[in-house]
Amino acid sequence: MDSAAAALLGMGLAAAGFAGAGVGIGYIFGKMIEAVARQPEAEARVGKYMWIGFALVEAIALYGLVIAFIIMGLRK
Amino acid sequence: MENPLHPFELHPFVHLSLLGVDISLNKAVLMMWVVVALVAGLLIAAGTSRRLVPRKLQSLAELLVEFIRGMILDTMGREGMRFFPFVSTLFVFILFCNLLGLVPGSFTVTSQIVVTAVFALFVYSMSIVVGFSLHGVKFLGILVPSGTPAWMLPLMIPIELVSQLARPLSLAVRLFANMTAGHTVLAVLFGMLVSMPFIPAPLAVKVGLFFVLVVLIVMRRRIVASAGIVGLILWWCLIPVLLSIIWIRWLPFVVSIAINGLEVFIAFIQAYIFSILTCVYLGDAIHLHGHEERAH
Amino acid sequence: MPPSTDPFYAGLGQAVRIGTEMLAALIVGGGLGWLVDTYLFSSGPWGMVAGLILGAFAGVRNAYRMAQRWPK
Repeated sequence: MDSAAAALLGMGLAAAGFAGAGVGIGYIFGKMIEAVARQPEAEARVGKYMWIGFALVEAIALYGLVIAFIIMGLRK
Repeated sequence: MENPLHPFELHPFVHLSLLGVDISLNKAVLMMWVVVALVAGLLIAAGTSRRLVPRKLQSLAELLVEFIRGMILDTMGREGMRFFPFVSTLFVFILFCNLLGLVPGSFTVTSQIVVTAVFALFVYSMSIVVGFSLHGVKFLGILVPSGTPAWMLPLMIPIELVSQLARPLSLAVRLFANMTAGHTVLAVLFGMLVSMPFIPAPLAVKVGLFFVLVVLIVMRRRIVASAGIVGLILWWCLIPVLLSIIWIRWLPFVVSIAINGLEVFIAFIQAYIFSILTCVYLGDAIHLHGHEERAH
Repeated sequence: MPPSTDPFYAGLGQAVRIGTEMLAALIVGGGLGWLVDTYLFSSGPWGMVAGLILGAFAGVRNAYRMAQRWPK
């Protein structure tokens, strides 16, 4: 296998990290809906933490993207 | 398959140069002219007839003005209103660039990092100039967050310096990355729409299946009533299978329409975020350490 | 859609900011460290390591500060 193909494979594998971000986003919003369904008056307070958690998941996904770009830059 | 990054490449139509600087005409320049002409035309048309009870266009423009005014008052307070023309120009220009880029065949100006980087650098250097002209040397105190103990200073100043320098980068990269990512996904989907191989089946079979499909859709109430939940599940499984045999490309077609709708939403959100961050940075420059007192 | 009246859009607007801001702080920190390494002291990878750590701190601090100033 030449190195160009290996780099492409590595970029694809880095993109697979988005699966984790997808699981995280689904989990956060699912739990948010569950919590608000149990206690509707807590929506404002829970919503703040939901968005912070969402942002952190997004940051992790961006790290995966950066790793893909680094591999693209190292490719010969 | 075609390279999905192909739509972002720029090729000059007319080669021009001024004093050795390349000012060739290309798609991005033309698109910016179109945006400027459209925005100016719409807003002038909205502003000429100043009725007490606004018509459609005028009430849209008033909504826009109210929206930007609320944004500035929320983040900068009364003193920020002198930046109203700047912020509203930035917001409307970015919004129309994002939205017009979604029209097939056009070009998204904000998907070029040069454009977003120039916007971000301009906004950031403007906030620095405003800060120094208002506060003088005391503006360097923005590197020292209020309430920091003295022994923490050698650690906090580098951290604050990094987070200040990260501002223009994050401003530029956010807009660029969002627009580019969305349009790349759309390009991949449209490429599949063109290049996906059809499922081989005789034409007669396809026409027959089409009639079966029509019957299934027309009779859906009868099927569900007679076969219950099993019928419903079977119906939902059968429809995509039949559709795929007749015309497999319905899949990228439907997904690309959905993504296009999402892109309209992202266009609004990104224009909003860019201009509200402009307001926040200018507000930081105006009210040095002012947040704690002005906090809601 | 006036800003910060609908909590959903206010929250979404804040949340979309945090991700890129953490990333940008990390990149700027690492970049500054790399510049110090290559052009000032030629001090091996240590400037970049310190810069990355500083950048990570700055990113987390930004996120924390944003969470404190969250729109109600």
